[in-house]
Amino acid sequence: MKALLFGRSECSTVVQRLGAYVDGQLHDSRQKQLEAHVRDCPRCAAELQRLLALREQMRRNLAVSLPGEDAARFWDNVERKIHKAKSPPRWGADRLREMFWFYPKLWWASAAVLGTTVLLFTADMVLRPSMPPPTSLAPIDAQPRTVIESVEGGPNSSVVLFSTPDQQLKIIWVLERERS
Amino acid sequence: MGSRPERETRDDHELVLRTKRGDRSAFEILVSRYQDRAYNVAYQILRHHEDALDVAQEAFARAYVSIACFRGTAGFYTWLYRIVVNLAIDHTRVRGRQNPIPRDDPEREVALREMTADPAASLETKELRQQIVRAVTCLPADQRAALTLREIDGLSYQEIARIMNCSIGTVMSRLYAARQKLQRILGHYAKAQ
Repeated sequence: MKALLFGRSECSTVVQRLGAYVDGQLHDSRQKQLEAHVRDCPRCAAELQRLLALREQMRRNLAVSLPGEDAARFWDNVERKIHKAKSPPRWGADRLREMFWFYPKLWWASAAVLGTTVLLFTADMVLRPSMPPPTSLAPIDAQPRTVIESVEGGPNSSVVLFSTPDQQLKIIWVLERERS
Repeated sequence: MGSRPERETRDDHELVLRTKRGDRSAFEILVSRYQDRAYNVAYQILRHHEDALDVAQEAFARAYVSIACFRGTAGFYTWLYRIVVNLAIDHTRVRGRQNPIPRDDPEREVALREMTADPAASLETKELRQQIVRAVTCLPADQRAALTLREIDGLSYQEIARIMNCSIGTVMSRLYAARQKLQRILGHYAKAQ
């Protein structure tokens, strides 16, 4: 018996594809391959019969049609809903939910924006060079004290000598008038 | 039932163009053409008459309002079904009606009609129908949707994948899982045919 030669793994693959086979959704070559297997394998043939029976029962028992009075009022109700949907947009949670419902890509866009923001914030925190400790900074309100030591001037130039005793700096400020 | 006939799809395209130009009567034709099927898909997912009716009508209203976004790369019914399936699945999530108990519904009416016609023979049919309905109700909403689109609407895997916004592989695995589960639940009923 050829059927006995089929391994369990081949049968399990066939059983998984039986649905696509009865739906006619397999490629030609695979369809023929499966047909050949089912012809010789009673186990898979029985499985196929069960599947066909189930499909038949479903088609016969599940399909429903719209009851008459609902069918007659259907368009009126659709029109009412269209009118409601076209009334001035309301803003808030409902509107936002509706927008996301209609444009599912908004979820991805929002997630991408949020992710990028978090990433940039984290990168900024991690990569920013550390600042010197606040104790080493001069107090903000402490203005540097400056002393004018000397002022010398001529007709075309003047020299001012400043010093900052706190930081031991001397500044020489030379002003020269442009010669015309 | 197979995929929609080409002529019907071409007609749909024409009606969509007229709707885009503001012709509401064209949209009314589309509604009358698909209201039964839209209701059926919603009903199979929700298993509740009023909710299914509301979802189907809401889907048409949303389709009308956003008809300008419909580019026509796929059929109108694919686009409409996508709205119906999304709304219905959202509905099951919001209301937590994954496993509702069917109330006054069209199935009960069919069963009652059969009972009156031939009470003896209908007992088994009625029992079988109840078993099938119960078994289908046990499935997750996405498996139920895939199964309905395939078994009742006869759509191809590619169309189902487009409607459910997933890959063909996912459609296959959802159908496989659904059928396996149904066979397990139905047991001898499935073999009886």
